[in-house]
Amino acid sequence: LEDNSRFRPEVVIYFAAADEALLPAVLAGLEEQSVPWRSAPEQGPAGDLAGRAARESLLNVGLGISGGGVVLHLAQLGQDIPLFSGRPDSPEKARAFGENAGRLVKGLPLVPIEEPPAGNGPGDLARLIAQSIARVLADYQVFGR
Amino acid sequence: LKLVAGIDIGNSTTEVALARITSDGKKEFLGSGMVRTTGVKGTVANIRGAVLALEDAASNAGVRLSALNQAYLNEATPVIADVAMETITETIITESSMIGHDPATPGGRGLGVGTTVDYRELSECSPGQKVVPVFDRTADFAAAAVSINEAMSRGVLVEAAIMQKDDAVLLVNRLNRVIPVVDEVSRVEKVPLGMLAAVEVAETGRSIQTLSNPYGLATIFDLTPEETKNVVPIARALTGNRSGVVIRTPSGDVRERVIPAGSLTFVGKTGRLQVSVDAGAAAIMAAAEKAFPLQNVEGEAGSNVGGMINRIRTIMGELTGEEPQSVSIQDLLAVDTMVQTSVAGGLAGELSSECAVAIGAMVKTSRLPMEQIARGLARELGVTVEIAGVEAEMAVLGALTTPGVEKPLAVLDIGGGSTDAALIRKDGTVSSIHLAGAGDMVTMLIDSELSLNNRELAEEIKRYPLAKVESLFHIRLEDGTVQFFDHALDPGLFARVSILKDGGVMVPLPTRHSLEKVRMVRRQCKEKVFVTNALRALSKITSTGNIRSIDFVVLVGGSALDFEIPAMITGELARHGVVAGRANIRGLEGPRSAVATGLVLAAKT
Repeated sequence: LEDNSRFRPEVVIYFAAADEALLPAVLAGLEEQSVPWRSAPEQGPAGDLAGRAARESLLNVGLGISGGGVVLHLAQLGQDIPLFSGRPDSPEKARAFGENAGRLVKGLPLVPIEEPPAGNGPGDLARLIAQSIARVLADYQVFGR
Repeated sequence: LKLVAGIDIGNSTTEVALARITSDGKKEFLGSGMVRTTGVKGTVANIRGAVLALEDAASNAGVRLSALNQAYLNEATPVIADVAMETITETIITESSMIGHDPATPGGRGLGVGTTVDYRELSECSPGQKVVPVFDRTADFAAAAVSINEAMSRGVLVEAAIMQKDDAVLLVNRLNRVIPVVDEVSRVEKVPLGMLAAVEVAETGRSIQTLSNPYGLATIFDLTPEETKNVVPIARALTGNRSGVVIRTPSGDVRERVIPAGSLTFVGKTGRLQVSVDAGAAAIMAAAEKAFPLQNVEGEAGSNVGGMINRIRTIMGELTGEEPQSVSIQDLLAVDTMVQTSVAGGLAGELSSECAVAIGAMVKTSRLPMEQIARGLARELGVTVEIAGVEAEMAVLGALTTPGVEKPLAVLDIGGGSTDAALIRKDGTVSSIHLAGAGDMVTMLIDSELSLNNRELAEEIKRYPLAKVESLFHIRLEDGTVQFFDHALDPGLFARVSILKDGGVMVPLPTRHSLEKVRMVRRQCKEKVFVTNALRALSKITSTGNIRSIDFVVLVGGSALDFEIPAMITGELARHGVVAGRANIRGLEGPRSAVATGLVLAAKT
């Protein structure tokens, strides 16, 4: 019997087996938003897992959990520019990643995620700087007061 | 050969028109300048802005400012306006009966009625007992599900649940039987325990039916006809929600009361006319109309409107240096509005729509110190500066340079504080009028109707069109068109209704209002003030009160640059058979520079 999961509209979550403890909180965020998902253990850095998950998701939304970090990715974004990445230190913060994945699918405004970016090999510093600049620009121009 | 300049110092901008007068007395316009007015209009602080505007015009015209021979300054209209608002109804909840809570993701569906209990006491409930457990922040959804399932298996009738955290869907997914669950109740500790509660959650895409029906509430809570009358505000507050909770406590009550707003007295030439503010804007304006022309307006002492009129008087007194008591209000515009206020005694930041009346008032002050400005400017420039002509007459002269118009022509200048109109008849006589209510009032109305509590944001909503960010790569503008972006937008903009400012800058609105709602409020506020005042001004300015006797109306000033106001006024006046549109001064300046151009045209050669 062929696996037809690729044809179901789902958010895809790839997680490193060692980080399975973070999974329930992330899934709770998706469940409260009533958005369908599938998850599977995989190996690799969180950013790579998230990028691949997003590209394999019919909903174009993927999450990667690895090395203590969670990354939320959108298939339309470049592999190196995930939407959100962080190292959640509480279930609430991990849940926000799942909630935002659900909100992306449903077209609802996202909840703020304030986390340092998760480690995903070289290029981290540049990304951190780029994100900080983007945030400052956003604070001053886009969000107004 | 003479180089002359017309200078118009307005509330927000200072405009200059520069012209050459040839030896045979012909006037050739060379260029225009515009800067923000420096300081309050009519004070010597304006001089700096006037010089800057002159320099701007000179550089646009390609001439040196030192070549200027003569400048003309307008006799500014000494009009000051202010706005205020007063709520006239109020909804009060006593003893915490929750209403109107509308979380984004309630759980389950249906209607559940039972007694509220702390979730820790669920194990002590007896079989057959109808209960509604209340879960605070300490409760985990998985453990909550276990305790409810356990109670249900013992025969306890767990009919519904109330939660503090955003866990309703998670909880219901783990229950053996579907019950309605309302979550995100921020002040859950104020939910009274041991009281009869009704929780209703509608299916996705539906709104609740029982709790929004007064008779539904009467059925659940066994209310008398008298009590049923009192629950109407609850039913109203819940209308359109996907979920709701109503808790009945012995002395608990939700009341809607009319705040004694007081009365206004219009003092006319022939007598006094009193009108109660809670009669609404239409009644107030009818009274103002009867008392026209107004000598003054008084508010009932000790009442809300009395305080409001006093505040307006005090502010105007400060601006004009007069005693508040001697400030007399010459026009007043009242507009009905709704204010979203948080319900006193609410449990989850519930809002209720209250009726309010917004009032704009206008006073004429003694002549502004234009001579001082003229003298200072003359010193600064080293040329003679003449105060030439009344603002309204100059505006008409300038407006007549718009292609396609002829007398009789009316000029409508809707600014920030007041609505000014001038009419030139076939015989060349000019009359003018100043009315209360303009852009600032619209900003105030938008601010309160969308409950923004942010005047600057309301001002931007007034000035710019809206867009909904539909994905990280495209937005849908309010006219339905779609705009794509090469780079991903900031995630903070995602799915948000945003203001689309010049240069593509997007400001997301910090509200849950839909784009349609914000657009509707914006347009209605503009119609309530701008269109109403356009009609009021034009009918007052004609001796007969008949707008049809005016052939042409041109809009000048800042509001004429608005992206939708001219079309609204054009549309409304077309129904009266009047040609109306945005001015195009000298065929090239648009609605700007009317007065400055008029000053040059009026100059003797």
